[in-house]
Amino acid sequence: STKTKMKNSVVTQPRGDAAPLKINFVGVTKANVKQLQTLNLAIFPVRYSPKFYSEVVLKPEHQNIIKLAYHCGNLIGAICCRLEDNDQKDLKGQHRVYIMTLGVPAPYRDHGVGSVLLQAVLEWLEAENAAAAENGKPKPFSDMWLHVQEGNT
Amino acid sequence: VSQPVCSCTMPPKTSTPPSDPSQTLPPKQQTQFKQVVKLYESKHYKKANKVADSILKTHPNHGETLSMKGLTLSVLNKKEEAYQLVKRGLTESKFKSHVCWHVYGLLHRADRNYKEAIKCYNNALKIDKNNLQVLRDLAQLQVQCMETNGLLITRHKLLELKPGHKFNWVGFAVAQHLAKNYSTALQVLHNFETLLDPADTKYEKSEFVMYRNMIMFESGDFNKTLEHLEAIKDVSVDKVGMLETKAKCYRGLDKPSDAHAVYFELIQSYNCEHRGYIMDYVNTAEAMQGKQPLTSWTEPQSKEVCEVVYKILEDLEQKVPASHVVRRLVLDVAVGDAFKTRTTAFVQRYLKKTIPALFSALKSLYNTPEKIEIMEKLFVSWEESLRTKQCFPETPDETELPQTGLWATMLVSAHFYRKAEYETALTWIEKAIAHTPTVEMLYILQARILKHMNKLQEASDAVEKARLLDTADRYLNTKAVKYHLRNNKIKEADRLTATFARAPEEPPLNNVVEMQCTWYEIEEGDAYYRLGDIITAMKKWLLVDKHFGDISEDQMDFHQYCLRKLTLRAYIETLRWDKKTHHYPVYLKAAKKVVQGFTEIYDQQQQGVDLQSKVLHLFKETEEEKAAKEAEEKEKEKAGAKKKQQPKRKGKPQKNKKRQDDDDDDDDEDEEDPSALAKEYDLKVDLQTPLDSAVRFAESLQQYAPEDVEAHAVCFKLYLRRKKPLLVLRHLLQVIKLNKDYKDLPQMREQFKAMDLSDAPAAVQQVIKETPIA
Repeated sequence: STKTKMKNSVVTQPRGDAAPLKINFVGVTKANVKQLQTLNLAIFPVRYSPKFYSEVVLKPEHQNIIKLAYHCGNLIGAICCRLEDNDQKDLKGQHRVYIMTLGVPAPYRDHGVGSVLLQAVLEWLEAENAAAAENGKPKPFSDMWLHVQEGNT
Repeated sequence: VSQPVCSCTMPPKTSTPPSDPSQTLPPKQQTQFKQVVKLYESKHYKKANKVADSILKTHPNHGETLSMKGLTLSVLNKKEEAYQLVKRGLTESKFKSHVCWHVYGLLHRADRNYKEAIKCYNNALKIDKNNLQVLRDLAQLQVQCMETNGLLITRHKLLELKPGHKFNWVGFAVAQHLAKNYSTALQVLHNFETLLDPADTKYEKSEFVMYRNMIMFESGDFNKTLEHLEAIKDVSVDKVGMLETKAKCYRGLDKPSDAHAVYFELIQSYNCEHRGYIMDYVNTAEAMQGKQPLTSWTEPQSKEVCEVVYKILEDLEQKVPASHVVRRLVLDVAVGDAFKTRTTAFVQRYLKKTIPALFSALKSLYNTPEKIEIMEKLFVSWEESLRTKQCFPETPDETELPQTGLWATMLVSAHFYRKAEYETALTWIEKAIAHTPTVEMLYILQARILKHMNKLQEASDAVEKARLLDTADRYLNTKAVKYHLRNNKIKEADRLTATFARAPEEPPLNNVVEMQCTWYEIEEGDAYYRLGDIITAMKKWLLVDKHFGDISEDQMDFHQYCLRKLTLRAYIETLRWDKKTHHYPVYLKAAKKVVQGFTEIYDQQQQGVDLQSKVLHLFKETEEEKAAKEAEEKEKEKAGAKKKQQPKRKGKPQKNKKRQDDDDDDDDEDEEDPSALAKEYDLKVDLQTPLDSAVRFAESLQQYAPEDVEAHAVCFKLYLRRKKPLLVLRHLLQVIKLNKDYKDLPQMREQFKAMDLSDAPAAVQQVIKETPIA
């Protein structure tokens, strides 16, 4: 269910001395998907195929687990997740959430942007789970996982 | 445009002499004739035509019916037949029917032959002096053509005939005003007020008194105007207007200090960002008296003037701290260290707010080399400081956000771009893009730099990158369109324009032309020209001319409207503005290209080049596309046919109840045919007499662009071919006066000397010999 409301803007809480940034969350659409592509191209050594952007990213069920972080009107970070089926027998029917990309361009790191992106998605997933439990239904999401690039310290 | 109402709604008192039997109708046909008129007025043209035909069956030579038929045909776009019929109608009625003259006038008016129309109306009035409809139509045309003398007579007549109508009074006063009979105008308004109640609402009352005030001001009697302003203080709601007039009066009476105080009030209480007020404030300051008043902020001034103005603005800045404009204008007159400190404060403030328009705001400062140097040092030092220490050098304790650094980098790039050091600018913008690659404005700047380096394909690619970042952004789309046109990719540009079109089925041309998008038309024309197709290029450039004609024509609606609504000040200003529309830079730009174009057409024809063969039919459908379209349409018809059958069954039983006439209702609705619009926009280029057609554009250039060297060069070429030696000389002398180093000047001199003057009269030859062109 997509009835759970998402917060649209937050202020980051950096751990170090860096200044907090006001972030607006925007959903990805056909009109701005190219921005996401440009961002990922600049940050990651892996180049994702056009299908990644046209099919996976724009899937309606991924709408709430793909977030673009805007600061003063510019895109400075994004998180893209997708839903996967669960292999474990007793958790069948529940989705696993796989983080495909999570990145912030160099000048904007250490300001807490990555944290709020991750937090935003987590909050939504947990809220969905809680809502389901209240209605006596099984939890839709089981866990979240990702791959880490070797050498990414 | 409102449909002109025919005069024959009123029973004509004297139409045709009764002795002429073919010109009077028996009662049955008379009713039919009245029906024709009614149908015309209610826009049922085809029906009107039918009824007229039935009258003509029995009375084939009835002048007035022939004219009415002609009138209906003219609306149905059968112009030639219409004119023939109307002229026949005139001759049949022996030129003695005011109806026929009126109709002839209406035809001319629809074709914008205003002078001819005026003549026809005057003829109609000779026959029927007091025909109100003709008088009103005539007054409208006379205002449109600014024939003030004729207008005075017509308006006087209207007032005599119907003194109970308010707008006849107002119309007469306006006519006097336009004829500069200020005291008479005021007298008329005074009489009007005593006899009738001029205005109903508060706003109308206010406008009425402000209009009187305007007349007083224009008559030059400033004291009277000031007194009047005091008297109408409570009635007028236009406080700003009153203050502005007050200030102008004081200046007229040579009392700058009083004016100065009023301008201060305007700035402080009404609009602190108004550049006009601020300039007037400066010019009326005590310290500026006796000096040359400022006319422009961007032109460099003498040191003395700069100092004086700087002090005045500094003082104003303290009194009105909210004004952004004042803070910016101070930069134009500041020098040395003051300039350095102020620029730092101004620019840093906007860098922190990351406002992209910052760089355009600084444009005018690049007129002075000293300022350029100061700015370069500042900008580069800030960029470095922000990159390495995340702070401005002046404020090392304040940490700046990451994008302030980004905008600083962009600012440095824009600075070098402005200095025309394109390679450097390019390196800087690439640094900015590496910093945050998702910002569209960076790519736009990159594209601009590449464009100036003449790398049009790369520039186009950069803009496309920007556009794809946000395909819903119309600004980016428009930029992309422009760059495609510069790169001669006309079809691509057209495709992009269509994405924001209102109705995708219509030809995209309609979007551009209906919206009077002149920049697109000129760019598209340029693109066709570069591709060698001069005829299509001319068609595009001529559209600009058409728009200006349309704009002028649109003013016709206001003549009646404004008199009713009493918005007279704005109305008078519009009338005056309309005469100056050819002043507009976009019109002059197009005019230059048109003259150049016609000259080239002539040259190429002389050389035997077939211009039609060079026409690029970029948008003609290929055979495959045509076949596909036909197949699609056939399918649609099959689907549509099934739908049509059902409502027909429902309609049948009701049919008998309806009158026979209503069968034709479907035909009479004005169908908007998009392909008809496209035909209207496909202008004809005069290939028979190109030089003749170019003359009126050249005259516009001569009148409105006297400082433009290119304009004179273009006219020089035209008149050389038209063999008008004196005009050629005139333009040559202008070029010499404006720019001795003009690149084509030696060639022009040669061409001038080589002119064949054997046919010219002796006096002309004398002048040519004696005038020096060194």
